[in-house]
Amino acid sequence: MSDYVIQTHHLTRYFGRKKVVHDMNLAVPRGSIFGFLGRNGSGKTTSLRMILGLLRPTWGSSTILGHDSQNLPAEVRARIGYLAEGHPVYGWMRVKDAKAFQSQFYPKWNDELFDSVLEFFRVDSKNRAKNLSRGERAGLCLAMTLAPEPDLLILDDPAIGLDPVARRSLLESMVYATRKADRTIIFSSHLLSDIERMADHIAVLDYSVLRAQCSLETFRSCVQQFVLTFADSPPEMRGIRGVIQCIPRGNQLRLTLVNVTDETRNALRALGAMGVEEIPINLEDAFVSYLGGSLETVKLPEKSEAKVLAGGVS
Amino acid sequence: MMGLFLRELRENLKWGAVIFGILVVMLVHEIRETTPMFLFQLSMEYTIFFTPLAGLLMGVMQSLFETRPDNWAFVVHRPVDRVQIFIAKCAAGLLLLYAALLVPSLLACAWAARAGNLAMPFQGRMMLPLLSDVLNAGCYYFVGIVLTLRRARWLGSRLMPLGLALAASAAVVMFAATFWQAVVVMLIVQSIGAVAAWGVFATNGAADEGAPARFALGTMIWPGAWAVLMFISGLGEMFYSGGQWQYYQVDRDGNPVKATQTQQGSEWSWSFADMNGQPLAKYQNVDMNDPANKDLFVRFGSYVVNEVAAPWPLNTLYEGDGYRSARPGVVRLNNVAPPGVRLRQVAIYNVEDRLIDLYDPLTHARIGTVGPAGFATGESEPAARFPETPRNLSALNGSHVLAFDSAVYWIELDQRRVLEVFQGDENDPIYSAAEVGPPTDPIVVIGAHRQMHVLHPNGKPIFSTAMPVDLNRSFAEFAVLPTNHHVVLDTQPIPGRGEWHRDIIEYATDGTLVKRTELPRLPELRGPKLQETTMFGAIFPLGIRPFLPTWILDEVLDIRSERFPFVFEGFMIGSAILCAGITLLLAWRCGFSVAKTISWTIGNVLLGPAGVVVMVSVNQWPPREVCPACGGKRLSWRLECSQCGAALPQPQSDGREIFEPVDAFQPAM
Repeated sequence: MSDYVIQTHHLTRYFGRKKVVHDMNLAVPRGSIFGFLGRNGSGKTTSLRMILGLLRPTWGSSTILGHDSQNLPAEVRARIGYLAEGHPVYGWMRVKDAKAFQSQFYPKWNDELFDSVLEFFRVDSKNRAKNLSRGERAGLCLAMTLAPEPDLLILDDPAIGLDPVARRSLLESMVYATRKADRTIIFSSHLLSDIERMADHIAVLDYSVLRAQCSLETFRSCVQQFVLTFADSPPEMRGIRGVIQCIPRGNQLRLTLVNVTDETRNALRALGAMGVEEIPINLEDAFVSYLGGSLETVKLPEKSEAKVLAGGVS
Repeated sequence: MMGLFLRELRENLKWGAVIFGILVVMLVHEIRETTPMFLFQLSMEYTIFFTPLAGLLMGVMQSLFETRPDNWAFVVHRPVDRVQIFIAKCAAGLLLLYAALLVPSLLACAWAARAGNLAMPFQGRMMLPLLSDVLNAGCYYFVGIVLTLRRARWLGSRLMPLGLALAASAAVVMFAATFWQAVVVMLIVQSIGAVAAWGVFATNGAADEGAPARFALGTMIWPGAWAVLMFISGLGEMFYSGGQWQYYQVDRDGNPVKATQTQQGSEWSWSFADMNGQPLAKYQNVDMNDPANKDLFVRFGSYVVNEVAAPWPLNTLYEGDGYRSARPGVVRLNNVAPPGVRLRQVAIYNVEDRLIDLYDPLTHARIGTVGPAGFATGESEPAARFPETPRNLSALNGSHVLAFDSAVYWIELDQRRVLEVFQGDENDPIYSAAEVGPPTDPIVVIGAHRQMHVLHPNGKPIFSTAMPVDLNRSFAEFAVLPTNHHVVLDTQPIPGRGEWHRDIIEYATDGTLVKRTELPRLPELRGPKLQETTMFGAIFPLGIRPFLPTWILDEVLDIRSERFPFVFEGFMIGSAILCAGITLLLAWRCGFSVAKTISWTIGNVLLGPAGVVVMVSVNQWPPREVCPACGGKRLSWRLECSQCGAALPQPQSDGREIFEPVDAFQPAM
């Protein structure tokens, strides 16, 4: 049995002229909780759909649970729980009808698990799905996804649109689901706090390109922030590899860097700063700098003291 | 699969109920009209339009949920084959649709069959138009799915799959001679629709997988594309504010006259000339729209022809020979009493029973029957029945004359009888007969294989002479000249049965041939006709041309290919060459394989511009981007540059990459 439940090889997808996923090589280890990160439109959902065989790649391939994604037999599909974005349900169905309907497809359907998730979300089984609140609806969807006891759970932005309490409930349910040792969970999200709480590995998509695939700790350790203090106004930042964000403030420069090496540190010293101080950075800031820095320039009024430079990586 | 089927059934029950309810309302409304032709009227006024809409409604509403990719993913990500999900969906949709349409339709038939509800005998074939309409809904059901799910521009090709269903409707309503032909057409179209709908459903609207599904989608789009091109080509007529036409008239003395009708804006004018082209002063400034001039020329009306000689599709289009027509089973007799006498009964010629049925218009009870031996009361067995199917069915409803192979009868239903006015010769069987002349002083004209007989309604002969035309190839319209009671024939060929000719033949009352004038074909004058023919030629598919006789192009489609042959054929061939060029260009631009390029090129030469539209609609069009290796434009969807062969560049590193070796991943325990 392979150690990886999902492997992609040069997975690429165009929508018309737009390259949505570009040459993605991903490997998801068995038993991991894998956070799939990226901004809106970065290609997370498209990647997951290709991996699930719901969308054909323009080229490249992927396997899931050892099978070609595009030819998944029904038995393999039964081992994959998928919660699509937006928590789709048949609105006219009562919750108990949804359970009865869904359970007939899965040989390992766990009624108790379904009921306990519903209970956790306080969902009345006599309600129609269209009358449920967003949180309740997410709970119903999660219950339908977990009850088949899948080996692999794929959750596409499961917390979208949920209030903090409902989101926390959802995450706790997911933790509950991972009690089975070799179950793998992949979930995409914009919410760093969720990723931080849940994931042990992450993959980061930026403008259709996979930029990072590592453990959460590695990611955290690779993104660092420094404050450089100068006697006069700070010099222009050029030629220093790894800079992803640069914010001048008076005679100080706040730099966010990735993959800092000795060479980088020497380059920083060579700028002639009076002081170079490394300051702690939380995951959310690290992620925002990692993705936001290269994406746009915040255009502030000219009088503003603060000036955010489009970082990019020099 | 049963679970999926039941879920679809439950989910869409409401749409079935809506369709059922609307049809019941239509049914009740039509019942209140109490027309004897109830079932035919119900079809022609309601179901022929409603069942397609019902099919579309069911297809669209059943697919709306899956238009959102997330919902679609929720539906198909189950341990069930996608094809089973689709089959369950369609089975439920079609069951609901057909049940909602069929139950009211069968109730309508049952009501019509119950004695006393209609002043009309009930025949099983009367159910066929309704059944055909119900079955037709299935064609539109699949169109509904395709329209809803397929991702394409609404103002582009998205609506075009409607074309095949509309073409099928036209075929089953206007061209199918028998019910089974209509069923075959509808089943073929539904099969094509089902395959196309499957392709669209399976790919969440991309419709980019599977040759059969794409072929089916193309087959659906092609008639729609052709219809759009026809519409666009017809827009040219908008720029014509007038025109000029020529036709023949026969004056009150039996002389042919050339009439030229001119339209300038809303103004109409006429000029008349003799056969030598000399203007006729006595008709100067005559306004033919003025009712006072309605008798200025002889009015032909009654005709004699061998009805069974009319070729398809003219027999179904104009002769009422198709399964949707009441005529092969029953004909309502509207003109079977002397002028001024009001018949207080509904008279129906019952083809199956070979009798005339008389009904009470108020109670709808059958009063009795009229046959060759006279009247028989109520349900009593008549002493005799008519010999066979009438030869003049298409003109029977407005005529006193009932013609058979062996005899001709004059109907006098005010007297509840028919008079045998002529008995045919075994060696010269009758083709048809007609009532000619004014209602107050009619005569009977009988066309047999060799002889033409003219006689009074009481059977007294006026004259007999050799039949001047072959009624298998021509039809003859008759008139009686008001000045001298001469009988005039205007003979023209049955389209598709012979070369064009037209004669005006005049006989004196003793049967002497007075004159026979051959009328030359009149030229097309000013108007949009030439332009129309040009446009038709430009969009007409070369591949269909060999299978369509010229007379069908001209008489059914009004293309005038015979009138302007070089224009029509020239533009058709030129268009085919242009289509081949465009196809090659597009195929090169999109990197088609050689086999695919050849297939599409041959296809589009045969299918014309509509084929190019299909090609553009069913193929994915890859963008191009600059190749970093050679600087040329490469197809973005190809792994290798078609010009230099360089592999697709991988994403460029920007220094931010954080990749742990895959082996470094350790499962979280």
